[in-house]
Amino acid sequence: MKTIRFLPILILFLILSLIHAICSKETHNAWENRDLSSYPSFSISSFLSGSYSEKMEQALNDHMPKRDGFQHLHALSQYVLGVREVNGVLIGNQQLYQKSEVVDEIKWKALAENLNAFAKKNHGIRFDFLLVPSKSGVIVPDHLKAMLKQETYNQSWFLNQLSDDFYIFDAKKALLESQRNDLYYRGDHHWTTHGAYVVYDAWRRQRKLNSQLSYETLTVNDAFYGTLSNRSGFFLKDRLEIYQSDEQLTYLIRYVEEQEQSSSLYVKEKQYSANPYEVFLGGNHARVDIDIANDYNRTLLLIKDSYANCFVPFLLPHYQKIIMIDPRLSYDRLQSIILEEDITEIMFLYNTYTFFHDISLYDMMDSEMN
Amino acid sequence: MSYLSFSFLCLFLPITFCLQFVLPSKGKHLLMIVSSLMFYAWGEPLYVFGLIALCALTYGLGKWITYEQDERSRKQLLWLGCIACVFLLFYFKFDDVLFKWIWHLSNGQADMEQWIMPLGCSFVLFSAISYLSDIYRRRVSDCGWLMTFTYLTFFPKLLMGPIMPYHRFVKENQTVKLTMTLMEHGARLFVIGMAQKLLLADHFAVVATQIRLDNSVLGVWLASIAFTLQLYFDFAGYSMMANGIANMFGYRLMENFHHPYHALSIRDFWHRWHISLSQWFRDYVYIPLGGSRLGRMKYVRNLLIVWLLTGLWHGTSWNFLLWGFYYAVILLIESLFLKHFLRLLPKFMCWCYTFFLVNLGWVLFANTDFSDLLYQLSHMFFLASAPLFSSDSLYYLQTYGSFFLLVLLIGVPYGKLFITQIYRRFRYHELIDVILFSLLLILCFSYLIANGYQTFLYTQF
Repeated sequence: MKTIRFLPILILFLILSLIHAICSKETHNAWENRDLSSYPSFSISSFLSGSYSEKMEQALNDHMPKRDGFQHLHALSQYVLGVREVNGVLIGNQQLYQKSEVVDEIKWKALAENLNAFAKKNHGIRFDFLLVPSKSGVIVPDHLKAMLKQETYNQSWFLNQLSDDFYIFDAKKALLESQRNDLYYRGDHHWTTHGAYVVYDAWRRQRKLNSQLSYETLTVNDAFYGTLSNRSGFFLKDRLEIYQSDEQLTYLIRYVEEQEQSSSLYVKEKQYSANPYEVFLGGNHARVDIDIANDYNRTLLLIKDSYANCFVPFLLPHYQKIIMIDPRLSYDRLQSIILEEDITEIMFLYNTYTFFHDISLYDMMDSEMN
Repeated sequence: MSYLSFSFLCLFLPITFCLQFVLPSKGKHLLMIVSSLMFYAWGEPLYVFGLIALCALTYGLGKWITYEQDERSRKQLLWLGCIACVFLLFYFKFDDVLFKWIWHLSNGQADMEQWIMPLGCSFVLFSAISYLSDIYRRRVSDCGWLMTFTYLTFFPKLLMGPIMPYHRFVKENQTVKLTMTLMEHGARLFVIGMAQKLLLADHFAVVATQIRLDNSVLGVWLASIAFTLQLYFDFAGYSMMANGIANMFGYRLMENFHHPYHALSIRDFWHRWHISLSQWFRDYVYIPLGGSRLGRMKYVRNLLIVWLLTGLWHGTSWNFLLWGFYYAVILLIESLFLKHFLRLLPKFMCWCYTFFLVNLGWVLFANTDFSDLLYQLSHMFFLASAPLFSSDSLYYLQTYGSFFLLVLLIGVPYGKLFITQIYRRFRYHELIDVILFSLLLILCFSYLIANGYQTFLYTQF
């Protein structure tokens, strides 16, 4: 029998990878939802400084053939070998989780103090605090309990730091009581519209707010692969749904920074985009003002992260105006908005993971109070 | 440039590999020198000029030693070269410490520029000393500048060794024979080394770092064993890749690891672990000092010197010195008292004794912080009233247990026996081999693309 060699396979594999990487015209990776690095142009100074080799390495990595396939293979092999953590994503029973880190208690204590002082300063305005747990705070498989315990600890520790000026709503209790198994996307870090509705409904009942609206669900994308799927390479398909009310509300949305207007909360162009979750309000914006045609004399200032994007449609029937501020993108002074817009209520709506892994709210409150 | 970077795998390696068939065989060493300098310049663009200067000076000094007739002058020239190399090594290794001293002495007034240690500095300088010593001892005749430059810059061994003695390198590689069998062997070694690094070492690294300071006995033991395995698969994987690449170009390097965790005594362990470094210290320090032939006191002295230098070679932190001293003491006890006793013990007991001490040695090696070291040791030996296990340690045992099991299966002698005796008799084993190697290559690529890789541990030395 003729001898079979591995060497030609190795060399051919490497050469074909190189040819593909160099000839690749791709500039964006839809799965990872990011722009790919381009090849650097050579210069003596960039080579001597080491930046040329660094950029070349990144570009070659980005343009490797079948990146998604390789990522999936990596995740699969990890799973077969028993590893339940891939690129910071924990793999549960048909669910993907983000792993929370230990909180810098000094910083977050300072944030709580600033929030307390802010609430005291604006006495007379109602302050709601909705810290929505991630999936890891609600659906925890036994084998990941040790890895996911931090989030619950962070949440209860922080909420204990807040003063009585805040109405703290127990979103976790509402989610646990609902018994539904579709409160979170399996492969994304967000809650589903069902999860948002469950929390809204419990919050509305607690506040004794009436709602005459009934909703029906509408599927906008039945092959939604979320950020956790893309990061881990462990692809779990989800269905993205929205709630549509039978009664039409009239409202006008203004994207302040972008100077754009819309009469719909949903951006259909995003339905099949790389990140279909952006169908809600087109994603995150520094400031969004929503004027609603109703008789309630209530103006809400909503300080939020992306969890609020699918929650806010439920709030519309209860307010005349809602101003959404995303501290990650906004440089607005909250105190000025309160005075200018005659704010009657302020709600902080955050997902626990984002809340403890992003310092923009800390920075905003720090500049607000100091 | 790292072996696991895409610039190396997809750009440097295939192009250089193909070039060797285009160029005449006489230009082989020249191709190696040019490509090695490019390989080095990719990661250290400025230091490459330093490398060229070092090679030129070493070659010049070697030439001088060769043609100098006066024995005393030859010795002086050798000392000059060795002191210059050791000075450079100490300068880069102690740069940080020196900088702090001078800064303190000048009350923060000194305006010094701190130099970062060039990659592979320790390995290149030890190779230069080996070159000068071998020329001085006339172990090898002058083979010309091409061979000297190839030896000092040879990219497969440039960054992390093996520190092959010059006379041995010349013997193996004076005439490069490019055979298909050797290249095929090299390609396979390369992929096995890559798999050891990416599939084993990097997974053990997660356990070793995540629960190093766990608050349970199981956690710290698991972390220490994970580090022991990480270090081996990291460095042995690298050495295997280095040997593999050299073979693909028709060159041969020495074996750097020979199943060190199968050792039945500490002495045996050091004959199997980082063989090239052990042999370097034996040939160029221990034996010139007199070895064990000058009486017991001098033997103790020589052993202490060699092991403290071995510790210092790894770094200037106190834990490396302690680690060197630890091995000097164990080797002394073994050779003076335990040698006969160990022969009487069953093999398994000898293995347990060796593995336990080696594992403990790596705990000293890994902890540059004294309080961390105390924490880990007190938890390992039930001195901290810590619980037997924690939820974290159980999670890591459950999640990464398959890797420990895999290593155990590969490690036991029956695994090798199965491959050599039974599997090789199978008719299509060659085809299966190629399929398995191809799958392993694809798997390694998937790890590189999805997860990247952790820097090789020995790069810092």
